[in-house]
Amino acid sequence: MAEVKLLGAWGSPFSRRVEMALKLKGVEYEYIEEDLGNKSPLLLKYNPIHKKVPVLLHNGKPIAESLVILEYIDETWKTNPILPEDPYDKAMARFWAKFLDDTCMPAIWQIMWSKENQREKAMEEAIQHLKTLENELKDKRFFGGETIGLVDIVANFIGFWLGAFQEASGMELVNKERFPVLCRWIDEYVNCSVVKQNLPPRDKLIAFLQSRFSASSWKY
Amino acid sequence: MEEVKLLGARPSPFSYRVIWALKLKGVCYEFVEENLSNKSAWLLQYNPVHKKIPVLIHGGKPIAESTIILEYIEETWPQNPLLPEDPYERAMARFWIKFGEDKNPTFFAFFQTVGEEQEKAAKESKELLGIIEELGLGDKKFFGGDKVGLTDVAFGWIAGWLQPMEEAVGVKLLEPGSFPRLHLWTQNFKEVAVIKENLPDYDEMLAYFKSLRQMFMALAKS
Repeated sequence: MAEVKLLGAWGSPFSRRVEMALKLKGVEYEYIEEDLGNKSPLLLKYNPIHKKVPVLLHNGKPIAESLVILEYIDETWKTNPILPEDPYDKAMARFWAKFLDDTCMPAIWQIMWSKENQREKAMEEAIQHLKTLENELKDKRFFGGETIGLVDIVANFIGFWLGAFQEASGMELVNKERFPVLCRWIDEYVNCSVVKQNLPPRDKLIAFLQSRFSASSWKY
Repeated sequence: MEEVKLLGARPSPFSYRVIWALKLKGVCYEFVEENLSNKSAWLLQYNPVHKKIPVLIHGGKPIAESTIILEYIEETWPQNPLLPEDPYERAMARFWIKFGEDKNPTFFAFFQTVGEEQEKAAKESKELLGIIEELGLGDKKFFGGDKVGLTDVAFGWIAGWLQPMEEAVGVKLLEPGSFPRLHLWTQNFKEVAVIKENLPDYDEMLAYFKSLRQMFMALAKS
């Protein structure tokens, strides 16, 4: 039997994305928890360039970068495809996945880490990008249609982590008034079985974030 | 057969990636030159999210983001495959394409900044070139192996654009002595017929980068 291992971290949305895809496809794997404050020789060996999680090991061969791993998983295990078959629809899924990681995520980070006088501007930018995302969702149940797909998996940080950040910091970016459609998706998403099984414990995550914020004496 | 249009702008290397991929596969297309200081209604309609080129329009349906366009071209026109068949090798190709994309800001910083900031960016850029050479290219002729693939196309800016950038800045990054394999790759890449016939004119690029560099230096002083 082919051997699949995953180097991950319990609180990392990137790590959880890969677990979600593996579980969705019924792929058995061995999970190895990494202590990101004390990276293992295994991690440094299998991801020497970025030294980050997640790293998927398939028959001893490592793949890093969650988006690259997700594409590999979809190509290797054909059950429950996470990408559409049609090349144009596939391109659209990749576009929105990239938009989430390269545009939305940095904008959200920017709010968290910007100085007080720049926060409003950062907030406006993040709102604009999330509205663009919400517009793409429209009246679909999930970004992937009736079932979750690549974009829903990649949007996990909006589906779950963002709520934890908001509670830990007091910052409010996403709420029902501002983003009714996105909030509807969030509710569906976190209640979807494959997602529910692959989320870190909320209280543990909030406590972890709060301790990080206070350690860096950051205040919202 | 459905119509293929490409909204692009010379001398953008991102535009050229798409041109090379289409030509390597023998796909006929119409090139529409965009004036980036006066974006057309078309561009704003076909790429409302980013308002950038390149945008590929196939049968009236638009796709933005050059690396996503490259994957679409590969899947839609399977002749002369530009990605390996093996899923692991494909993952490696995608890893390096992403690496190049994610590290663009460092090279931009090398071109756009001055003084200490620029020295730091130059040092980091050289480190990146080292990683690309040692771990990405290795001893292969091309990133794709014996023939060019999508990774070569994605890194094509190093072969065609880095030198005039270096000349405009007055700092050399890709020294043949320091990066012999990567340097050889730039020569081999530019010899590929499709690439050779589709490279912007060096002197035009140099003039373009020199004027850009002057603008950035003026901004830095103000």
